[in-house]
Amino acid sequence: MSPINSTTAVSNWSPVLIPGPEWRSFEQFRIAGSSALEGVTVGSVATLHVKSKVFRILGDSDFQRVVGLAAEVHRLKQGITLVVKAARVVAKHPDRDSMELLYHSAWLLSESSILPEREGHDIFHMTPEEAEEHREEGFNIPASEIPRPTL
Amino acid sequence: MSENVPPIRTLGELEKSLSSLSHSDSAISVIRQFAAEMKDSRERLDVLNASGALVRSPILSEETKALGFTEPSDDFTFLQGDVISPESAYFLGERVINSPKYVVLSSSCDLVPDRRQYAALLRIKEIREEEPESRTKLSYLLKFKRTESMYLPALPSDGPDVLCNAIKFDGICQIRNADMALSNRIASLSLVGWRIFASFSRMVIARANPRESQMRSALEQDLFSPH
Repeated sequence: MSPINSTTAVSNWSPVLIPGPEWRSFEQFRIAGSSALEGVTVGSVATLHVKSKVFRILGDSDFQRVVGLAAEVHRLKQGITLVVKAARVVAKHPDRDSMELLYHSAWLLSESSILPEREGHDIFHMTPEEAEEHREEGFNIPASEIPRPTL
Repeated sequence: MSENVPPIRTLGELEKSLSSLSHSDSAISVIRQFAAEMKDSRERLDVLNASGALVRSPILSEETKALGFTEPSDDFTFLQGDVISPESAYFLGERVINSPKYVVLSSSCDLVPDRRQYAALLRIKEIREEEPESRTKLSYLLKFKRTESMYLPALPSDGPDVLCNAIKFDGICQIRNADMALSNRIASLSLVGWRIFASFSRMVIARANPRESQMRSALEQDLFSPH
């Protein structure tokens, strides 16, 4: 088994979301105003009841994590389907070849049992020569003084 | 095709006509010249970080519809150059987590729903105050001297220690279009920002050392000449 690459990490995040604020009607939500949404903290899901429908509200960072994990599960499904098919072949024809097929397909899946993840992008690198050439005397502006565009 | 272009009848003539177009780096030269003509990094920051200079709020289909762009082909959800932050994109087989930022590399016309299954993204790296040579990196990027990195200002949603961003043209990420549709659109590029972005994209993919052209010509010099 090849060692896991140093960039490979498994996030501590798991799809456990706790209940956040709850509004029993749209009117109640409207009266509470935008400040009500401040109660929708990271890891929590708010609930809004509108007539016969129920809506869940969560912060974008949680939403992106859920979508990301769903995409990963979708990708893994193909591997699991392969193992299930191999197991069916073994059940029907319990010979050495089909046992080997099951073993190999399960082994392939176990190789990817740790979902390969990367914690953000690595930092911007510059060679010493580039640094030497582009260092600007007296240019030490703090981030707080750099203008940012308004969007 | 323009009427001024003489008819091209042979592959040899076609190659000659394309030689000044297909691998030209003149767009990047123009961008670098523009940056070089400013006095120093502070002036470049004032120009490039102004509101609406390189980036703007995400362009909405409703906005362009209100301006008369109402044909079916004008409809869009994402545009090339949009800054997005999904957690469902992959780099070298690894899913990138922790709110990474990307720029959409795929052409806008390929981002129309149901047209393509996957989109290509480029990574955006943040330059933070505390990292080594951070001001030199900022100064370097402001001059557009790195062929594979394009300067992008720090965005309002970035952390307070972020000096600027760099779009990396080295390494392409992939995302399913269906997943991208759910990602957070942070910003769009302005018109000039989009032009600069396209100039870098083109240069990274179709850049050529002049000697490569000479080598190839030397190898094929007899190929298209009449016997």
